[in-house]
Amino acid sequence: MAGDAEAPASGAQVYRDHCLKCHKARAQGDGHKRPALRSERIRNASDGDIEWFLRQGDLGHGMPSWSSLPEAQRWQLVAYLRSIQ
Amino acid sequence: MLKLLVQILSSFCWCGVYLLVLSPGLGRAQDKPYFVTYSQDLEEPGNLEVETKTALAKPDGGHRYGALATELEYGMRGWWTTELYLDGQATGQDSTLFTGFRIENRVRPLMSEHFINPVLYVEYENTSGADKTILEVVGHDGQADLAGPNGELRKEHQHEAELKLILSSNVKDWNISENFISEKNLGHEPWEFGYAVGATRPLASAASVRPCTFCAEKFITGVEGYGGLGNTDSLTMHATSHYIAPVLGWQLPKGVRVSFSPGFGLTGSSLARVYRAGLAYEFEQVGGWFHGGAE
Ligand code: HEC
Repeated sequence: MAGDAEAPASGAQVYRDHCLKCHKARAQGDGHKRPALRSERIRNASDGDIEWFLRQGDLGHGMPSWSSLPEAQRWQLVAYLRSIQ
Repeated sequence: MLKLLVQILSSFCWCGVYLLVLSPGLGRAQDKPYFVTYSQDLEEPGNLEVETKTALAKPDGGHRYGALATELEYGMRGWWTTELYLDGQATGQDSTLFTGFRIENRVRPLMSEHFINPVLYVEYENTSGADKTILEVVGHDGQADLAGPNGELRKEHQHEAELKLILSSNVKDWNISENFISEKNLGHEPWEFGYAVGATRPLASAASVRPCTFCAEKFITGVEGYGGLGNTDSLTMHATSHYIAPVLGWQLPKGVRVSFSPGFGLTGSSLARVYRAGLAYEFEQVGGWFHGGAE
């Protein structure tokens, strides 16, 4: 799914719907507790690590769990995050 | 009847208009379209969701009614959601009245995702016997409780504490949720028990390439079932109500979500049918309007 040519564009829609409010339009983060998603950490993480983190979230630190999104949409998000690095 | 329907529908529509006018920008609610069952979904930290839930029914021996619950749901933390409900109803050939409020908190005790995710729910309820929103069914609740005249029903005060254990799993693209309910009138009544179970799934898994309103992933369908399980004085299924209700949710642009559910009573004590409609809007990151943003 993440390899699908249209996955980054679809992932951008999902990002706009669910992530933009915290991580901001250019994934620059809010300069506070919501980190930038164009980062060394994301570049170094594997696709599987990112998808796993999205499913888990980090409830204790304000990142919701996205296990309620269909799995295909989490992979589309991974493809989108990859495409903006 | 027509007047009653017009009253209910107009309050429903006005809520929608207010929500759209007040909307500060794009918002996205993504809850499941359950009306009674709770899933593990909590409000995102800093977001405020406003939702109206309408129930239309006619108890045997009573008049048609429409009950409206307005729900304000705020994400305090990633693991904690707090909620206020304001309830009212209008009964045909009778009156329109405010029937009380509820305050509830939902907390996820485990910070990581598991196959089954528990959520603890604690509620304080201060309503009158005229409350007809049927947001849960417990004990021996039945249609007879909804049939009396409002003047009589409103004399009964319900100061209740309610505890729910919510268990919820997201498997493949399904959400499966089970709720175990216990409710205690803070006067001298016994503990009452109830349940709600539900399963939902979006019509499509992957998102479309372009923004769209009618594409399949914007629709979530499923079914919920709920009912009473007696009380500590009579722990029996005798004279309890049970319902089965298909549910449909549609995520519209601008963060508006609508949901519908026709519910069907399964026992003699149950209402024959309950029609429900919901309208929700999510105000994003209102926590940030007051300070740097909720955690
Ligand atoms: C309610 C605000 C909020 C929303 C909505 C949100 N996030 Fe986050 N996100 C956070 C916070 C806060 C953190 C930092 C968590 C921590 O410190 O561990 C974070 C962390 C992350 C990280 C890890 C970054 C790192 O460097 O470790 C990723 C990846 C991420 N979010 C992706 C997403 C995606 C994709 C979405 C949309 C599906 C999303 N987030 C929606 C608040 C949010």
